[in-house]
Amino acid sequence: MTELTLFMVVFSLQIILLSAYFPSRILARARYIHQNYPASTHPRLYPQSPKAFSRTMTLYFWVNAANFVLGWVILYFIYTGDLVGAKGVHPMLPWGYFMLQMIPSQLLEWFGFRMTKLMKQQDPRTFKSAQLKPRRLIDHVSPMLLAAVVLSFVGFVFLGLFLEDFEITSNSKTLFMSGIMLLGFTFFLLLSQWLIKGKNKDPYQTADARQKNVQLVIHSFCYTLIACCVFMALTLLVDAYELKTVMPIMMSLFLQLLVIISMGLMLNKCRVENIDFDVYRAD
Amino acid sequence: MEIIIDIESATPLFSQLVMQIKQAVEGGHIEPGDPLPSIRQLANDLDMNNKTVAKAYRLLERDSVIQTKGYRGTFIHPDAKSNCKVDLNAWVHKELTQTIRSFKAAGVTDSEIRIAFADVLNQITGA
Repeated sequence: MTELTLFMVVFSLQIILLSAYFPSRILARARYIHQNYPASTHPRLYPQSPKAFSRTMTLYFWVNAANFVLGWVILYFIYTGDLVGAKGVHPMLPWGYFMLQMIPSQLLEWFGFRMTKLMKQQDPRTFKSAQLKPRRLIDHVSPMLLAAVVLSFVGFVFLGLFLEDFEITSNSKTLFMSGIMLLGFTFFLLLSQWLIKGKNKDPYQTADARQKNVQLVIHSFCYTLIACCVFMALTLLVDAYELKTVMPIMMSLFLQLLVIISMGLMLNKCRVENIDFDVYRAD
Repeated sequence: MEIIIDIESATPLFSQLVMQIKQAVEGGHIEPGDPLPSIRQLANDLDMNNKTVAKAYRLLERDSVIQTKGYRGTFIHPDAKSNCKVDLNAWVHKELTQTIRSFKAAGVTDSEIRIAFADVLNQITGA
């Protein structure tokens, strides 16, 4: 099997996974909520109107459908050779398409943000409650997982230095990539702190539910960082052994992995059947 | 342990916070040495201004109900249980009542007391 054929298989998987499989699961989840917790019994869940909810889900469906079709069109042009250069498929092609595939998710995020903002504005309760207990990073993630993140980074740096014969120069690729990874670490750390100590976006969410949600998100951050370290290490190996033609395959697989450990983890661990929707009932 | 604040109550928010933390200590819901949430966390959870929570924490620290240990955070004071019973407001009222009564007995007028009180307070606080 040539690299191009393998890439086409992997890219097909990217199209199906990110523009069909996960969106269909999210839509099924939305349908379940809409059918089992309608506005008549759970008005707090629909601060705007149930129609706005349906409209957003329809838009989500169509943007994903458009991405799905676009994916197969791209694949067709790869097959005909129009999108294949002298060095094969451009390694950033899966990345560019991935960015388009993420637009519907961003749309949902934006809709969710607007809904929770409206929920807060419409919240009639004059009582506010808080737990008299500090929330810390180690309450949300095990030290073992944190150690695994640090170890994967150390492993990446070690491999990079090994490939560069432990000679650190100003134009060292390992040094540059380590800098980027450290920026990523800092970003995720700040984001985690914001999630742990920041304002609760959903005014009706219980402290317990919030803790579980934040825990899941931080776990997915940790897995993402580990995946990034492994990907960066593989990139260094690809460079060192001049295997650049496999780069688009690796990129596509890496992006799929990122979605599996973020969206997949959230969908599997935070099952809609286990969410307490009674907090959204009318008084 | 959960604290509940009524944002429409006539009692100021910081007072509600101080009272509830003292009640939690007296009721044994939080023990000496237990950590408390940071000002930012509590303010975010209660949808309050950071300054309001900071003021409540300052008053609790003044009464030795809580203690701040630098970057490690805020903790319940080892003598918090007995210190919770000390009511500085009641003590101020009692002392002032006695003093003002003795002034009145000596024939000092109300306005003279008010002016003198303001002068002394200004001298002490340096205003």
